[in-house]
Amino acid sequence: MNDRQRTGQISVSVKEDGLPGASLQTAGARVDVLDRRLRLLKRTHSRDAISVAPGRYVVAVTFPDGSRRTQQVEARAGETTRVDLTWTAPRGEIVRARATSKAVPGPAPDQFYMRFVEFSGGLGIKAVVDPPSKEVEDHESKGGVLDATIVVQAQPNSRSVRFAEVATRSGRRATVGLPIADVGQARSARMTVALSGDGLDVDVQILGSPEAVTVSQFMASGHVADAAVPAAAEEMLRGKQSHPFGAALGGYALLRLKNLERLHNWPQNLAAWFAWLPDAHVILGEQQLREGDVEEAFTHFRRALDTGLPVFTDGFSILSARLRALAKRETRAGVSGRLRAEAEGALEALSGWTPWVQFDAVHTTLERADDSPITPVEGWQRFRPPFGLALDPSFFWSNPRE
Amino acid sequence: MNPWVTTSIAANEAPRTHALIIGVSRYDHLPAEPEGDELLFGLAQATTPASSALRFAEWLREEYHQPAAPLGTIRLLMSASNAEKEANTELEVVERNVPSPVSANVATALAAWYDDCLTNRDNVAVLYISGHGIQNSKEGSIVLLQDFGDPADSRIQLLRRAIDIGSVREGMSRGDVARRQFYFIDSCRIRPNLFRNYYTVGAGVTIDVIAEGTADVSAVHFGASSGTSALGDPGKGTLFNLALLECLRGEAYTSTPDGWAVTQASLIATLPTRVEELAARYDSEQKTTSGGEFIDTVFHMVTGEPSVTLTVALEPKMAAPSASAELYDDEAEVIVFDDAPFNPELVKNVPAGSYLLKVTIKPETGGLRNRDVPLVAEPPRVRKVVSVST
Repeated sequence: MNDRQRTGQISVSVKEDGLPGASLQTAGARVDVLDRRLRLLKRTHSRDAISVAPGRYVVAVTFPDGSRRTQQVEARAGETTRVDLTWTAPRGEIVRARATSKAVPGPAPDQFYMRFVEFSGGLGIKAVVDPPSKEVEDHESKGGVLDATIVVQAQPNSRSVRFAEVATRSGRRATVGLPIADVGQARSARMTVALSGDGLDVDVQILGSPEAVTVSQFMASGHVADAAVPAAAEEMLRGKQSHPFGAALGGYALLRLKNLERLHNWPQNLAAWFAWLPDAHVILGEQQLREGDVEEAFTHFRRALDTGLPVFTDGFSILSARLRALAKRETRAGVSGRLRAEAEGALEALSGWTPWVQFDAVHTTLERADDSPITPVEGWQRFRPPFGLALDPSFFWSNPRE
Repeated sequence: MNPWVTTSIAANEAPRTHALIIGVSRYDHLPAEPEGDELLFGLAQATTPASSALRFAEWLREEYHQPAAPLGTIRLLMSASNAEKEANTELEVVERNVPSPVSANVATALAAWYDDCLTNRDNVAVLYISGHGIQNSKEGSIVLLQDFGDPADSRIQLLRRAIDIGSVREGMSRGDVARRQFYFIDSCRIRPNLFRNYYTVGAGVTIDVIAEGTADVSAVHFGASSGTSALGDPGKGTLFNLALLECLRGEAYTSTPDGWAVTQASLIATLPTRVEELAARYDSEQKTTSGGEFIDTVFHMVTGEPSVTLTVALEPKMAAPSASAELYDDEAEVIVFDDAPFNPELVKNVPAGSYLLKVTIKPETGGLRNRDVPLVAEPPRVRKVVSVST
């Protein structure tokens, strides 16, 4: 009798339902095999066959968004027991508290303002001259909340980082990094805007890289030890030419997982090929720092800031923490007085934005009160749902002064 | 300055857990109500951080279980608000016996904690701090200490009496210190518009970086209330604290090869949701950020078998008066409970496990029938709706 005949096999099959924002193709779902007291016997993922001694088990499957399903199974010698599950992937990378969850009394706000900006050297903010196109995918006013879903698309030849800025009439403002450029599969992203009373929430979903969404969900839902995550993150980084933003997310995931081997020398290539992407320089700088080259690391952090603000919060956080440490460090070898002074200058530029950063968001999100003028000259347009059926997308947008 | 708790095994050379816990509710130089003073960042006295610190310290002392590094020391520093002391008289007693969290005391305690953490690479370091503060990265924040705002300090020394958690983490990143480190930052958020001009000013209490290397895990859980005073009830603690303790007492239990535990991953998965749920009860918003390395590691092992609150509801509900339930192990050999009534739901505490639930209808008429249902009871609770319609 061979091993296969002496053991039973458990095979977990997950069907993805609906229109997924994420995909299990690369990462798989986490599978725990538990005994009848729910003690963990084996941890693997859904793409692997599981060999166990004959007996009764509980199979617990955890999906990237943190949702979990359990099923009792009996494994018989020489047989394969199938566990068939369905997973409906949520649309976003991360489930954040949103205004949509807070219905408020009274009518929903009926409009907001939006424009596209970039952060130039010195991190000043200015409207862009070639804004991405935008198309309203869905909108709803219900329970005192105005919800709008907008797909934004990079202009041809656009290879720089854009932020979307959304403002309310009450002076709330949110500025969010967009993972779009005229590169490979990274041309579009989906924004959701939710307004209620004084509340404003703007979320962004990366498109064109289901693996990026999946890995983000795994990271956000705490399932960081999944064997599938490093491999998926490595694959995302390897595929940088197809989706540099997905590659950056993969790089950040590997840094958080302290899995530096899987970075290879790809951050170097990412920074060389996509020099306009601040996140590429942040990842390369952090890799250099962890390898002990402080001077080289700072060069890349400096380059990141010269390029603009990182698209992802992890990038902003690394820059803030590392520049602060370099600027304050007195005793660490390799930190010269010149470097400390330069780090202090760089930190000062970044610190102008630090208080407004929402560190729980995936994409860099600055939320603040700002009552500066909203004019068409500054690139603003007003979003207001038309009465009745809007066949022409342009009906949603108008001059804010009209 | 002696620790609040020094266990009998603290002096052994074997790995130990060393905790530094700070709670600042009463500030020496802040007004009772917010005023417009820019140099005080518009802040007023806080009402819950000291309670939070004490509750966490008591949990560590009474319930924390880490077989690989049992509790060695707890250093507790706190200043309580009057409201807290009225709500919890124990606070006043404890406060009299621990150092106040003024910058000099915190610097001394930090250095002693650091030295303890250096005694064994397999030590576990825990730092919990609650007070006014602001986050400056996923891992870093600045928390103001009791003597913040001393009129003798100049404008360029404004954060002299604050602790820089980011730099503490940096200083603890070395190859010979506790390889597992857990930071819990429970902050009432300073209004950014008043603080932004002082963002680059260095905080006074830090750890110098004097050696290279890293910890294996240096996890940070940061909770920031959107208001300037932490949400929560005086005497009970902040919402972050309440949620954290709920996680440590069951909400974040997860199964590991060594038994049930609260791990870094289970905290990341559970803590933000629990904080948001509690904040919603106060009609407010509070966010939690997890930073540091995302390496799963055990923070706390559960002693014994965890209990699960099992709730069974029937569909249709009108079946309840004529129904009873029995719970067996999953091979229907060992009975856990029997003849349990529905009033109108059945609620029982059962050990975590895999079961067979038998619902019996007496008499089995009127379009209702008996049902056998497989059931997996995972902590902390499970709710099952059983359809008994024919």
